[in-house]
Amino acid sequence: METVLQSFMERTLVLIPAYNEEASLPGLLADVRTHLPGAAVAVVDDGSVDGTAEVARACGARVLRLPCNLGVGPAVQTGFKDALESGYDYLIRLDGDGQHPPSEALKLVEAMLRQPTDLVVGTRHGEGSTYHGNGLRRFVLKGLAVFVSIICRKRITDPTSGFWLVSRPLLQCFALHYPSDYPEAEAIALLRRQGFSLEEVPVAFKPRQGGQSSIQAWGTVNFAAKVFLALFVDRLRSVDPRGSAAFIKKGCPAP
Amino acid sequence: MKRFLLLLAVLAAGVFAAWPWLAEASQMMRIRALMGAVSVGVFLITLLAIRGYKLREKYAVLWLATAATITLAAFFPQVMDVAREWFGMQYVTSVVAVVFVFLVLVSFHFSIALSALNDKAASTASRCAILEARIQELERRIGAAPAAPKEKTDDRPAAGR
Repeated sequence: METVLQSFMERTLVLIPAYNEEASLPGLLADVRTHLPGAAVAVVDDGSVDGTAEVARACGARVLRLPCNLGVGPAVQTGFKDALESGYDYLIRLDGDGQHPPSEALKLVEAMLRQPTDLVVGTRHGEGSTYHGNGLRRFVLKGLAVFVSIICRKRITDPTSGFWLVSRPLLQCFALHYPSDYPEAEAIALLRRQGFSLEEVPVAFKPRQGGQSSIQAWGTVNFAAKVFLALFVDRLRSVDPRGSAAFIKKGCPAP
Repeated sequence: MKRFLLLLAVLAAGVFAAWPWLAEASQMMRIRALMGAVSVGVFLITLLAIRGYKLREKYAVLWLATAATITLAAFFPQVMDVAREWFGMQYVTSVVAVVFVFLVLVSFHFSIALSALNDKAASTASRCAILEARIQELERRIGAAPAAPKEKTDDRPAAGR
């Protein structure tokens, strides 16, 4: 099993999108080295105004520095494209604020090895969870989970989790299309429409170790409006053949 | 900025020259004069912007068409009556409402253009970040590699250079 895991890690890129996360990065990168040995690490610095890029580089990570703040969607997509072009077969996405413990990422890897799928999502609504959102946010997230489950025809408990393990065919799809603002729920709807599969695995999230959340208190309403609109419009789109699972898994070249 | 001030000066001179006529003219004529001046202003500003490479022709066409429509309506008001009759409208103000909708559509067109530009900028920035990381990696590899033996070179410029 250890050899299998080692081989898996050698083909894996750990992607950390970060915006002004110099405080939390050293601890997070040390944890990644401890719990995910052998995996390459890339930090996408989304136009930070602090020393995020320098700290990440000093900790030995490959740094992709965006010239300006583009938002989480384009930052993550940059990492997907880089992983694809660098030849990695898997990508583990962790948030730069330290909420996704690298030790828990092993649960995603185990799930992928047990039953290969295109995406494994770490859900915070499992056993051992310490997640407690405020009332409005909790309500919105619950509604979103129900809506996404209906349109995906599969039970999704945590559509806003960014704790992901992505396989290469899905990276190819996401290199073509990836939503920009609050992208996770829309990306799940997109991947289901394109014919990809996903599984959820319960993991324990940690409280933020530094920086600020991209969704502030009043922003929950804005978040809900944007995401529900995006999901509704997504239903009106047809499958893009270049990014479909059937096309990519047939061995067609990456876009 | 100089050109803009010059344009303002020309417009002010025009208003000054036409002042005696404006003072005598009816309210409708004054409104038409104002519309005419605005449309000529839009024309000139658009042309100057194209000339200074600040506005691309494909976006300018809509503004020129708008200015042309206003000019036509200002100097030949009967055109508005013909348009009103064609579309079966009771009042000329309905035509103005249609023009307003047209301007809203122009704004919508620019919103679409802006969104497309946003996507292109994100894509370009993404590519820059990936290439920068690769350059740094190559530089690190070259820096770490043992230095290649230096060939003896002649530093003098070649003849005829």
